[in-house]
Amino acid sequence: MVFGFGRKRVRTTSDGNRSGGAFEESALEHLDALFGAALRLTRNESEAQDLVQDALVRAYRFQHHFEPGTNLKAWLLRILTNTFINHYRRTARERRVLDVGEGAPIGDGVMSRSAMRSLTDSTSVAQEGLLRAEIVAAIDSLPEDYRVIIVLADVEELAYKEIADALSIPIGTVMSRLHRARKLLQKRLIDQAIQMGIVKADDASVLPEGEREPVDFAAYRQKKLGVS
Amino acid sequence: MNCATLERYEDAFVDGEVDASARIEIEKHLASCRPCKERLEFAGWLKTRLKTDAQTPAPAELRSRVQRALNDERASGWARLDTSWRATAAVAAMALLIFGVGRSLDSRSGQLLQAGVAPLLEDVMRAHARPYPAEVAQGDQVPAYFEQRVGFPVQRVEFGDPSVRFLGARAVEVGGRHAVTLQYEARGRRMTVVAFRPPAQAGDFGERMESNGRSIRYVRVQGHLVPLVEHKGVLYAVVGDLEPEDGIRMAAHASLR
Repeated sequence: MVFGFGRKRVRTTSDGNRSGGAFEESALEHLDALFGAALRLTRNESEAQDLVQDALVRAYRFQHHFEPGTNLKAWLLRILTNTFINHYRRTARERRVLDVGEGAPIGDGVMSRSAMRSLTDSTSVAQEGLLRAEIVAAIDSLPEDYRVIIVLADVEELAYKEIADALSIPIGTVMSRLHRARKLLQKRLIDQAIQMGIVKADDASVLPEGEREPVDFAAYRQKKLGVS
Repeated sequence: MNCATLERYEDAFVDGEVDASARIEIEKHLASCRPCKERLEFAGWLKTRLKTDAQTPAPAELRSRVQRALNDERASGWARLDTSWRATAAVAAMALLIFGVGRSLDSRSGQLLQAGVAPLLEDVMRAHARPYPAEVAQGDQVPAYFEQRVGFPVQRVEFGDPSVRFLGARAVEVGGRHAVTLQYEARGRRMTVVAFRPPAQAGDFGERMESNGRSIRYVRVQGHLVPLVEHKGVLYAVVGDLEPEDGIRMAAHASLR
Protein backbone atom coordinates (compact mmCIF):
# COMPACT_ATOMS: atom_id res chain seq x y z
CA MET A 1 0.00 0.00 0.00
CA VAL A 2 1.73 3.10 -1.18
CA PHE A 3 0.56 6.63 -1.19
CA GLY A 4 0.75 7.94 -4.73
CA PHE A 5 3.70 10.23 -4.29
CA GLY A 6 5.65 11.30 -7.31
CA ARG A 7 9.38 11.50 -6.78
CA LYS A 8 10.09 14.70 -8.63
CA ARG A 9 12.63 16.62 -6.69
CA VAL A 10 12.38 20.23 -7.57
CA ARG A 11 15.13 22.63 -6.70
CA THR A 12 14.16 26.14 -5.99
CA THR A 13 16.36 28.98 -7.03
CA SER A 14 15.12 31.96 -5.12
CA ASP A 15 13.87 30.63 -1.87
CA GLY A 16 14.95 32.79 0.99
CA ASN A 17 11.60 32.70 2.68
CA ARG A 18 12.00 31.61 6.29
CA SER A 19 8.63 32.57 7.59
CA GLY A 20 6.70 29.52 6.50
CA GLY A 21 4.19 29.74 3.72
CA ALA A 22 0.64 29.12 2.71
CA PHE A 23 1.05 25.37 2.82
CA GLU A 24 2.60 25.39 6.25
CA GLU A 25 -0.03 27.75 7.57
CA SER A 26 -2.92 25.66 6.26
CA ALA A 27 -1.39 22.39 7.39
CA LEU A 28 -0.63 23.59 10.91
CA GLU A 29 -4.28 24.44 11.42
CA HIS A 30 -4.79 20.68 11.60
CA LEU A 31 -1.98 20.05 14.06
CA ASP A 32 -4.28 19.10 16.95
CA ALA A 33 -6.25 16.68 14.78
CA LEU A 34 -3.06 15.10 13.46
CA PHE A 35 -1.57 14.77 16.92
CA GLY A 36 -4.76 13.29 18.35
CA ALA A 37 -4.81 10.67 15.59
CA ALA A 38 -1.07 9.99 15.92
CA LEU A 39 -1.36 9.53 19.66
CA ARG A 40 -4.06 6.89 19.31
CA LEU A 41 -2.17 5.15 16.49
CA THR A 42 1.19 5.00 18.27
CA ARG A 43 -0.16 5.05 21.86
CA ASN A 44 2.97 6.89 22.83
CA GLU A 45 3.41 10.62 23.10
CA SER A 46 6.95 11.01 21.80
CA GLU A 47 6.36 8.59 18.95
CA ALA A 48 3.19 10.49 18.12
CA GLN A 49 5.20 13.70 17.83
CA ASP A 50 7.72 11.99 15.55
CA LEU A 51 4.91 10.65 13.41
CA VAL A 52 3.25 14.05 13.02
CA GLN A 53 6.56 15.63 12.07
CA ASP A 54 7.41 12.90 9.54
CA ALA A 55 3.95 13.10 8.01
CA LEU A 56 4.02 16.89 7.68
CA VAL A 57 7.48 16.85 6.09
CA ARG A 58 6.21 14.31 3.57
CA ALA A 59 3.10 16.36 2.96
CA TYR A 60 5.30 19.40 2.39
CA ARG A 61 7.39 17.54 -0.18
CA PHE A 62 4.35 16.39 -2.06
CA GLN A 63 2.10 19.37 -1.59
CA HIS A 64 1.74 19.73 -5.36
CA HIS A 65 -0.20 16.45 -5.28
CA PHE A 66 -2.86 18.02 -3.15
CA GLU A 67 -5.91 19.11 -5.11
CA PRO A 68 -6.98 22.55 -3.95
CA GLY A 69 -10.60 22.63 -2.92
CA THR A 70 -10.56 19.06 -1.58
CA ASN A 71 -10.37 18.17 2.09
CA LEU A 72 -6.87 19.09 3.31
CA LYS A 73 -7.35 17.43 6.69
CA ALA A 74 -8.33 14.15 5.03
CA TRP A 75 -5.28 14.38 2.76
CA LEU A 76 -2.94 15.00 5.69
CA LEU A 77 -4.49 12.14 7.67
CA ARG A 78 -4.02 9.88 4.70
CA ILE A 79 -0.31 10.69 4.67
CA LEU A 80 -0.10 10.31 8.44
CA THR A 81 -1.84 6.93 8.35
CA ASN A 82 0.37 5.63 5.55
CA THR A 83 3.49 6.89 7.28
CA PHE A 84 2.36 5.05 10.38
CA ILE A 85 1.55 1.83 8.55
CA ASN A 86 4.74 1.80 6.52
CA HIS A 87 7.21 3.01 9.10
CA TYR A 88 5.79 2.67 12.57
CA ARG A 89 4.08 -0.69 12.59
CA ARG A 90 5.42 -2.49 15.55
CA THR A 91 5.52 -6.17 14.99
CA ALA A 92 4.44 -8.65 12.42
CA ARG A 93 2.59 -10.40 15.20
CA GLU A 94 0.30 -7.46 15.77
CA ARG A 95 -0.43 -7.32 12.07
CA ARG A 96 -1.34 -10.99 11.96
CA VAL A 97 -4.10 -10.57 14.51
CA LEU A 98 -6.21 -9.08 11.78
CA ASP A 99 -5.19 -11.55 9.09
CA VAL A 100 -6.65 -14.23 11.28
CA GLY A 101 -9.56 -12.21 12.54
CA GLU A 102 -11.02 -10.70 9.42
CA GLY A 103 -13.84 -12.74 7.99
CA ALA A 104 -14.18 -14.96 11.04
CA PRO A 105 -17.19 -14.36 13.28
CA ILE A 106 -16.47 -12.16 16.27
CA GLY A 107 -18.34 -14.52 18.51
CA ASP A 108 -19.51 -11.88 20.91
CA GLY A 109 -22.92 -10.35 20.82
CA VAL A 110 -24.09 -6.81 21.03
CA MET A 111 -24.54 -4.96 24.25
CA SER A 112 -27.77 -5.36 26.20
CA ARG A 113 -30.07 -2.36 26.43
CA SER A 114 -29.70 -1.92 30.15
CA ALA A 115 -25.91 -2.03 29.85
CA MET A 116 -26.10 0.68 27.18
CA ARG A 117 -28.24 2.80 29.44
CA SER A 118 -25.90 2.34 32.38
CA LEU A 119 -23.01 3.61 30.26
CA THR A 120 -24.75 6.57 28.68
CA ASP A 121 -26.34 7.64 31.96
CA SER A 122 -23.17 7.49 34.04
CA THR A 123 -23.04 11.19 34.64
CA SER A 124 -21.30 11.69 37.97
CA VAL A 125 -18.06 13.62 37.63
CA ALA A 126 -16.00 10.75 38.98
CA GLN A 127 -17.57 8.26 36.61
CA GLU A 128 -17.22 10.70 33.74
CA GLY A 129 -13.44 10.88 34.17
CA LEU A 130 -13.16 7.12 34.48
CA LEU A 131 -15.30 6.62 31.43
CA ARG A 132 -13.16 8.92 29.36
CA ALA A 133 -10.03 7.04 30.37
CA GLU A 134 -11.77 3.76 29.59
CA ILE A 135 -12.86 4.85 26.17
CA VAL A 136 -9.33 5.87 25.29
CA ALA A 137 -8.02 2.60 26.73
CA ALA A 138 -10.60 0.69 24.68
CA ILE A 139 -9.34 2.29 21.46
CA ASP A 140 -5.76 1.50 22.47
CA SER A 141 -6.65 -2.13 23.14
CA LEU A 142 -7.76 -2.73 19.54
CA PRO A 143 -5.55 -4.58 17.08
CA GLU A 144 -3.81 -2.11 14.83
CA ASP A 145 -5.98 -2.25 11.73
CA TYR A 146 -9.12 -1.86 13.79
CA ARG A 147 -7.56 1.01 15.68
CA VAL A 148 -6.69 2.76 12.42
CA ILE A 149 -10.25 2.51 11.17
CA ILE A 150 -11.76 3.80 14.44
CA VAL A 151 -9.36 6.74 14.43
CA LEU A 152 -10.23 7.67 10.85
CA ALA A 153 -13.99 7.08 11.07
CA ASP A 154 -14.84 8.16 14.60
CA VAL A 155 -12.06 10.29 16.02
CA GLU A 156 -11.45 12.20 12.78
CA GLU A 157 -14.83 11.63 11.15
CA LEU A 158 -13.64 10.96 7.63
CA ALA A 159 -16.21 9.71 5.11
CA TYR A 160 -16.10 6.03 4.03
CA LYS A 161 -14.77 7.11 0.65
CA GLU A 162 -11.95 9.09 2.23
CA ILE A 163 -11.03 6.16 4.46
CA ALA A 164 -11.11 3.78 1.50
CA ASP A 165 -8.76 6.11 -0.38
CA ALA A 166 -6.47 6.57 2.60
CA LEU A 167 -6.08 2.85 3.19
CA SER A 168 -6.38 1.71 -0.44
CA ILE A 169 -9.15 -0.73 0.45
CA PRO A 170 -12.69 -1.05 -0.98
CA ILE A 171 -15.56 0.72 0.79
CA GLY A 172 -17.09 -2.66 1.64
CA THR A 173 -13.95 -3.55 3.57
CA VAL A 174 -14.08 -0.20 5.34
CA MET A 175 -17.62 -1.01 6.45
CA SER A 176 -17.02 -4.56 7.61
CA ARG A 177 -13.79 -3.65 9.38
CA LEU A 178 -15.47 -0.70 11.08
CA HIS A 179 -18.37 -2.88 12.19
CA ARG A 180 -16.04 -5.41 13.75
CA ALA A 181 -13.89 -2.73 15.32
CA ARG A 182 -16.94 -1.23 17.00
CA LYS A 183 -18.13 -4.59 18.30
CA LEU A 184 -14.70 -5.27 19.79
CA LEU A 185 -14.70 -1.81 21.30
CA GLN A 186 -18.11 -2.35 22.86
CA LYS A 187 -17.05 -5.66 24.32
CA ARG A 188 -13.97 -4.16 25.87
CA LEU A 189 -15.98 -1.21 27.21
CA ILE A 190 -18.60 -3.37 28.82
CA ASP A 191 -15.97 -5.57 30.47
CA GLN A 192 -14.26 -2.50 31.87
CA ALA A 193 -17.54 -0.89 32.91
CA ILE A 194 -18.41 -3.97 34.94
CA GLN A 195 -15.09 -3.81 36.76
CA MET A 196 -15.62 -0.13 37.42
CA GLY A 197 -19.08 -0.77 38.76
CA ILE A 198 -20.75 1.45 36.17
CA VAL A 199 -22.57 -1.55 34.75
CA LYS A 200 -23.89 -4.46 36.84
CA ALA A 201 -22.69 -7.85 35.68
CA ASP A 202 -26.31 -9.05 35.42
CA ASP A 203 -27.10 -6.28 32.98
CA ALA A 204 -24.20 -7.06 30.76
CA SER A 205 -25.51 -10.25 29.29
CA VAL A 206 -25.25 -9.96 25.58
CA LEU A 207 -27.71 -10.73 22.88
CA PRO A 208 -26.61 -13.16 20.20
CA GLU A 209 -25.40 -11.33 17.16
CA GLY A 210 -25.98 -14.09 14.65
CA GLU A 211 -24.56 -13.86 11.20
CA ARG A 212 -25.02 -10.17 10.67
CA GLU A 213 -22.47 -8.22 8.68
CA PRO A 214 -23.01 -4.81 7.20
CA VAL A 215 -23.78 -4.97 3.54
CA ASP A 216 -23.51 -2.51 0.73
CA PHE A 217 -26.29 -0.01 1.14
CA ALA A 218 -26.69 0.84 -2.51
CA ALA A 219 -27.16 -2.83 -3.36
CA TYR A 220 -29.69 -3.18 -0.58
CA ARG A 221 -31.66 -0.20 -1.77
CA GLN A 222 -31.75 -1.47 -5.30
CA LYS A 223 -33.19 -4.70 -4.09
CA LYS A 224 -35.54 -3.42 -1.48
CA LEU A 225 -36.32 0.24 -1.83
CA GLY A 226 -36.04 0.63 -5.56
CA VAL A 227 -39.53 2.04 -5.75
CA SER A 228 -39.40 4.70 -3.07
CA MET B 1 -37.49 -2.00 7.08
CA ASN B 2 -37.47 -4.46 9.99
CA CYS B 3 -35.17 -4.81 13.00
CA ALA B 4 -32.86 -7.37 11.45
CA THR B 5 -32.33 -5.31 8.31
CA LEU B 6 -31.90 -2.10 10.21
CA GLU B 7 -29.21 -3.60 12.36
CA ARG B 8 -27.05 -4.15 9.33
CA TYR B 9 -27.19 -0.46 8.45
CA GLU B 10 -26.55 0.78 11.93
CA ASP B 11 -22.98 1.82 11.17
CA ALA B 12 -23.81 3.56 7.92
CA PHE B 13 -26.63 5.40 9.68
CA VAL B 14 -24.56 6.80 12.54
CA ASP B 15 -21.78 7.64 10.09
CA GLY B 16 -24.15 9.74 8.01
CA GLU B 17 -23.52 7.49 5.00
CA VAL B 18 -27.11 6.70 4.06
CA ASP B 19 -28.97 8.74 1.49
CA ALA B 20 -32.07 10.77 2.20
CA SER B 21 -34.70 8.22 1.19
CA ALA B 22 -33.03 5.39 3.10
CA ARG B 23 -32.76 7.68 6.11
CA ILE B 24 -36.50 8.23 5.95
CA GLU B 25 -37.10 4.46 5.90
CA ILE B 26 -34.86 4.03 8.91
CA GLU B 27 -36.38 6.89 10.85
CA LYS B 28 -39.83 5.55 10.16
CA HIS B 29 -38.80 2.26 11.75
CA LEU B 30 -37.15 3.97 14.71
CA ALA B 31 -40.29 5.93 15.48
CA SER B 32 -42.09 2.70 16.25
CA CYS B 33 -39.31 0.48 17.60
CA ARG B 34 -37.87 1.33 20.98
CA PRO B 35 -35.07 -1.31 21.07
CA CYS B 36 -33.71 -0.21 17.71
CA LYS B 37 -34.00 3.42 18.68
CA GLU B 38 -32.04 2.82 21.89
CA ARG B 39 -29.40 0.82 20.08
CA LEU B 40 -28.87 3.53 17.50
CA GLU B 41 -28.81 6.21 20.17
CA PHE B 42 -26.12 4.23 21.91
CA ALA B 43 -24.14 3.88 18.69
CA GLY B 44 -24.41 7.65 18.20
CA TRP B 45 -23.39 8.28 21.80
CA LEU B 46 -20.33 6.05 21.42
CA LYS B 47 -19.31 7.71 18.16
CA THR B 48 -19.47 11.11 19.83
CA ARG B 49 -17.53 9.90 22.88
CA LEU B 50 -14.81 8.44 20.67
CA LYS B 51 -14.38 11.78 18.96
CA THR B 52 -14.39 13.96 22.06
CA ASP B 53 -12.49 11.63 24.39
CA ALA B 54 -9.65 10.95 21.98
CA GLN B 55 -9.00 14.60 21.32
CA THR B 56 -5.66 15.68 22.73
CA PRO B 57 -4.29 19.10 21.90
CA ALA B 58 -0.83 19.02 20.36
CA PRO B 59 1.90 19.95 22.85
CA ALA B 60 3.27 23.45 22.28
CA GLU B 61 6.73 22.16 21.42
CA LEU B 62 5.35 20.10 18.54
CA ARG B 63 4.37 23.19 16.59
CA SER B 64 7.83 24.73 16.79
CA ARG B 65 9.43 21.37 16.11
CA VAL B 66 7.40 20.95 12.93
CA GLN B 67 8.12 24.49 11.85
CA ARG B 68 11.85 23.87 12.28
CA ALA B 69 11.64 20.66 10.30
CA LEU B 70 9.78 22.40 7.49
CA ASN B 71 12.31 25.21 7.43
CA ASP B 72 15.13 22.66 7.13
CA GLU B 73 13.22 20.98 4.38
CA ARG B 74 12.80 24.24 2.56
CA ALA B 75 16.49 25.06 2.95
CA SER B 76 17.47 21.64 1.64
CA GLY B 77 15.75 22.48 -1.59
CA TRP B 78 12.78 20.19 -1.77
CA ALA B 79 10.59 23.14 -1.76
CA ARG B 80 8.37 23.71 -4.63
CA LEU B 81 6.57 26.00 -2.79
CA ASP B 82 4.65 28.42 -1.14
CA THR B 83 4.29 30.39 -4.28
CA SER B 84 3.18 27.35 -6.19
CA TRP B 85 0.67 26.53 -3.45
CA ARG B 86 -1.01 29.86 -3.98
CA ALA B 87 -0.55 29.69 -7.72
CA THR B 88 -2.17 26.26 -7.88
CA ALA B 89 -5.22 27.55 -6.10
CA ALA B 90 -5.37 30.55 -8.38
CA VAL B 91 -5.00 28.41 -11.50
CA ALA B 92 -7.73 26.08 -10.30
CA ALA B 93 -9.94 29.08 -9.70
CA MET B 94 -9.23 30.39 -13.21
CA ALA B 95 -9.98 26.97 -14.67
CA LEU B 96 -13.35 27.06 -12.98
CA LEU B 97 -14.07 30.46 -14.41
CA ILE B 98 -12.89 29.72 -17.91
CA PHE B 99 -14.28 26.25 -18.37
CA GLY B 100 -17.36 26.77 -16.29
CA VAL B 101 -16.75 23.67 -14.23
CA GLY B 102 -18.45 25.53 -11.45
CA ARG B 103 -20.50 22.63 -10.20
CA SER B 104 -20.08 23.87 -6.68
CA LEU B 105 -21.14 27.45 -7.07
CA ASP B 106 -23.20 29.04 -9.74
CA SER B 107 -21.67 32.46 -9.49
CA ARG B 108 -18.34 33.98 -8.70
CA SER B 109 -16.91 30.56 -8.07
CA GLY B 110 -13.39 31.69 -8.84
CA GLN B 111 -13.36 34.43 -6.27
CA LEU B 112 -14.99 32.27 -3.65
CA LEU B 113 -12.65 29.37 -4.28
CA GLN B 114 -9.69 31.64 -3.89
CA ALA B 115 -11.03 33.02 -0.65
CA GLY B 116 -11.52 29.46 0.62
CA VAL B 117 -15.28 29.82 0.66
CA ALA B 118 -16.17 27.27 -2.02
CA PRO B 119 -14.73 24.23 -0.21
CA LEU B 120 -16.20 25.59 2.99
CA LEU B 121 -19.67 25.75 1.47
CA GLU B 122 -19.29 22.23 0.11
CA ASP B 123 -18.56 21.08 3.64
CA VAL B 124 -21.64 22.97 4.83
CA MET B 125 -23.73 20.94 2.38
CA ARG B 126 -21.99 17.80 3.52
CA ALA B 127 -22.72 18.60 7.16
CA HIS B 128 -26.39 18.60 6.26
CA ALA B 129 -26.27 15.55 4.01
CA ARG B 130 -24.30 13.49 6.53
CA PRO B 131 -25.71 14.40 9.92
CA TYR B 132 -23.71 13.10 12.86
CA PRO B 133 -25.31 12.37 16.22
CA ALA B 134 -25.83 15.47 18.34
CA GLU B 135 -23.51 16.31 21.24
CA VAL B 136 -26.00 18.62 22.89
CA ALA B 137 -29.74 18.07 22.81
CA GLN B 138 -30.89 21.08 24.83
CA GLY B 139 -31.00 24.36 22.93
CA ASP B 140 -30.21 26.48 25.98
CA GLN B 141 -26.97 24.56 26.57
CA VAL B 142 -25.64 25.40 23.11
CA PRO B 143 -23.78 28.68 23.88
CA ALA B 144 -21.96 27.41 26.97
CA TYR B 145 -21.11 24.04 25.47
CA PHE B 146 -19.63 25.26 22.21
CA GLU B 147 -17.96 28.57 22.97
CA GLN B 148 -14.84 26.87 24.41
CA ARG B 149 -14.78 24.16 21.81
CA VAL B 150 -15.06 26.25 18.68
CA GLY B 151 -13.73 29.58 19.92
CA PHE B 152 -16.69 31.78 19.01
CA PRO B 153 -20.17 32.34 20.44
CA VAL B 154 -22.92 30.16 18.94
CA GLN B 155 -26.60 30.43 19.64
CA ARG B 156 -29.58 28.35 18.76
CA VAL B 157 -31.48 29.97 15.92
CA GLU B 158 -35.21 30.44 16.60
CA PHE B 159 -37.59 30.43 13.67
CA GLY B 160 -40.77 31.56 15.41
CA ASP B 161 -42.54 28.56 13.90
CA PRO B 162 -44.01 25.85 16.16
CA SER B 163 -43.57 23.23 13.45
CA VAL B 164 -39.78 23.64 13.66
CA ARG B 165 -38.27 21.42 16.31
CA PHE B 166 -34.67 21.67 17.57
CA LEU B 167 -33.04 18.21 17.60
CA GLY B 168 -29.53 18.92 18.79
CA ALA B 169 -26.15 20.41 17.99
CA ARG B 170 -22.66 19.16 17.22
CA ALA B 171 -19.19 20.54 16.56
CA VAL B 172 -17.93 19.89 13.03
CA GLU B 173 -15.39 21.35 10.64
CA VAL B 174 -16.15 23.19 7.45
CA GLY B 175 -13.30 24.12 5.11
CA GLY B 176 -10.88 23.33 7.92
CA ARG B 177 -12.60 25.80 10.26
CA HIS B 178 -14.47 25.07 13.44
CA ALA B 179 -18.23 25.10 13.06
CA VAL B 180 -21.37 23.97 14.84
CA THR B 181 -24.33 22.26 13.19
CA LEU B 182 -27.73 22.98 14.69
CA GLN B 183 -30.12 20.26 13.62
CA TYR B 184 -33.84 20.84 13.25
CA GLU B 185 -36.89 19.10 11.98
CA ALA B 186 -39.46 21.12 10.08
CA ARG B 187 -42.69 19.42 9.00
CA GLY B 188 -41.04 16.03 8.84
CA ARG B 189 -38.01 17.31 6.94
CA ARG B 190 -34.54 17.84 8.21
CA MET B 191 -33.01 21.27 8.34
CA THR B 192 -29.48 22.09 9.40
CA VAL B 193 -28.06 25.44 10.42
CA VAL B 194 -24.29 25.55 10.17
CA ALA B 195 -22.62 28.27 12.25
CA PHE B 196 -19.07 29.32 11.39
CA ARG B 197 -16.83 32.35 11.23
CA PRO B 198 -16.12 33.09 7.57
CA PRO B 199 -12.50 33.75 6.52
CA ALA B 200 -11.75 37.47 6.62
CA GLN B 201 -10.67 37.53 2.98
CA ALA B 202 -14.06 36.18 1.89
CA GLY B 203 -15.69 39.59 2.32
CA ASP B 204 -19.42 40.00 2.05
CA PHE B 205 -19.99 37.12 -0.36
CA GLY B 206 -23.39 36.01 -1.59
CA GLU B 207 -26.41 37.83 -2.99
CA ARG B 208 -29.44 39.43 -1.40
CA MET B 209 -33.21 39.40 -1.73
CA GLU B 210 -36.13 40.90 0.18
CA SER B 211 -38.45 38.77 2.31
CA ASN B 212 -40.64 39.63 5.29
CA GLY B 213 -39.35 43.20 5.04
CA ARG B 214 -35.80 41.98 5.65
CA SER B 215 -32.90 41.85 3.27
CA ILE B 216 -31.85 38.19 3.21
CA ARG B 217 -28.37 37.26 2.20
CA TYR B 218 -27.96 33.94 0.44
CA VAL B 219 -25.54 31.96 -1.65
CA ARG B 220 -26.12 29.30 -4.29
CA VAL B 221 -24.38 25.98 -3.65
CA GLN B 222 -24.80 22.78 -5.65
CA GLY B 223 -28.11 24.01 -6.98
CA HIS B 224 -29.36 24.86 -3.49
CA LEU B 225 -30.20 28.30 -2.31
CA VAL B 226 -28.62 28.72 1.10
CA PRO B 227 -29.69 31.70 3.24
CA LEU B 228 -27.00 33.18 5.46
CA VAL B 229 -27.94 34.88 8.71
CA GLU B 230 -25.20 36.93 10.34
CA HIS B 231 -24.99 37.50 14.09
CA LYS B 232 -21.99 38.87 15.96
CA GLY B 233 -19.52 37.99 13.22
CA VAL B 234 -20.82 34.44 12.94
CA LEU B 235 -22.59 33.20 9.82
CA TYR B 236 -25.51 30.81 10.18
CA ALA B 237 -26.10 28.96 6.90
CA VAL B 238 -29.57 27.44 6.65
CA VAL B 239 -29.62 24.21 4.67
CA GLY B 240 -32.70 22.05 4.38
CA ASP B 241 -34.60 19.62 2.30
CA LEU B 242 -36.89 22.59 1.66
CA GLU B 243 -38.20 24.51 -1.31
CA PRO B 244 -35.99 27.56 -1.98
CA GLU B 245 -38.73 30.02 -1.04
CA ASP B 246 -39.35 28.16 2.24
CA GLY B 247 -35.70 28.42 3.10
CA ILE B 248 -35.67 32.15 2.49
CA ARG B 249 -38.87 32.53 4.50
CA MET B 250 -37.32 30.59 7.37
CA ALA B 251 -34.28 32.86 7.32
CA ALA B 252 -36.50 35.94 7.20
CA HIS B 253 -38.11 34.85 10.47
CA ALA B 254 -34.91 33.69 12.13
CA SER B 255 -33.94 35.30 15.40
CA LEU B 256 -30.93 34.98 17.66
CA ARG B 257 -30.94 36.17 21.22
